Amino acid sequence: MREQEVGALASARMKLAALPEFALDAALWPRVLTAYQRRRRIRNLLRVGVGGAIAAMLVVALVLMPRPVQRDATSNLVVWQRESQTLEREWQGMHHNTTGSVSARANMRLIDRALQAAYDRGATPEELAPLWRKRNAALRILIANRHDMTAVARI
Amino acid sequence: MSSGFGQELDAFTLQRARRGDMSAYSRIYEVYGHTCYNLALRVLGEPAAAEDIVQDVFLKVMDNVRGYRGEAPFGSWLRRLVTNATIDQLRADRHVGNTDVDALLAVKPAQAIAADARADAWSRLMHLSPRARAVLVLHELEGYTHKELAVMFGQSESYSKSILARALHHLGTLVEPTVPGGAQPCANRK
Repeated sequence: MREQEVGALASARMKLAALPEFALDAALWPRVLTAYQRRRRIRNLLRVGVGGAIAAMLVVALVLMPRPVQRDATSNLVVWQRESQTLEREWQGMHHNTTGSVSARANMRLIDRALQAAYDRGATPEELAPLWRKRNAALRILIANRHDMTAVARI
Repeated sequence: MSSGFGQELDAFTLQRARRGDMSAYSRIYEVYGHTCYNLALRVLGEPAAAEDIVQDVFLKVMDNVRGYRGEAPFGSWLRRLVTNATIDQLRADRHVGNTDVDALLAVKPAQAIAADARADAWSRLMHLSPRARAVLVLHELEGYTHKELAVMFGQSESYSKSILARALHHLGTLVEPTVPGGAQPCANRK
């Protein structure tokens, strides 16, 4: 019985050693390459699609996001205010024995009142910035008028 | 390693494959494609299914060769891919879920066995169930241990040993039916 088992085992191992090797179909590798290229194309399309979707979302976010716009208005406002301060110092530093144009000074007062009213009602930087810009223009006119009047007085 | 998976892949080809060079993939296929096919065919017994395994495995190689760190020889890594894909296929065909050893080793109805020793060996192997063939081929020809087989099939080591012992017995003692001039299995692939 034992000899039979050993014989069967040896026979089985001989059979395994005698197993044939089968050749691969020559058309298989081109099929693999085609499948690979198809997969790559699909992946690239997906990548482009996903990239496009992300870009579109970013654009929408940028358009809808109010903060950057507000930051621009705020930074503009700061610029106008600084300029206004400089012009005001220049105007104050000039000789006061000369009188500026009446209409220019009236305009300046109107703008100052509008500015104060805007601050009182809690206006946004977008509303304040044009008023500061107008104030600077009015200050420039006042300074220019004083320059002219000083020149006339010297003559 | 006794099988074709033991062949070495030169470092230059591997380097090119990692960079996505198609000619390097082609070279890998030249070296190992035939071996991958024969392992899958011996277990599955169907040329079309074995070709599908080779295709799936090479697509995986192309996708994952950058991640191959070289800790094990390339052939071993590839053999593992083929083995896993083949066992997955057996699972899909519901050959792996069966835990009845007798049913697994039930000999198929007598088929014609050619006189040629190679055809005889093939025919005897094909008489076994796919699960028994898988254990036999992976242990005896590919060098997997019972411990590894137990993990792969989700069974105990003793279960794997039992299947192997009985598969070897069947392979060694199967009585040949006396059908003269029988057809050769998978003759179109030889």
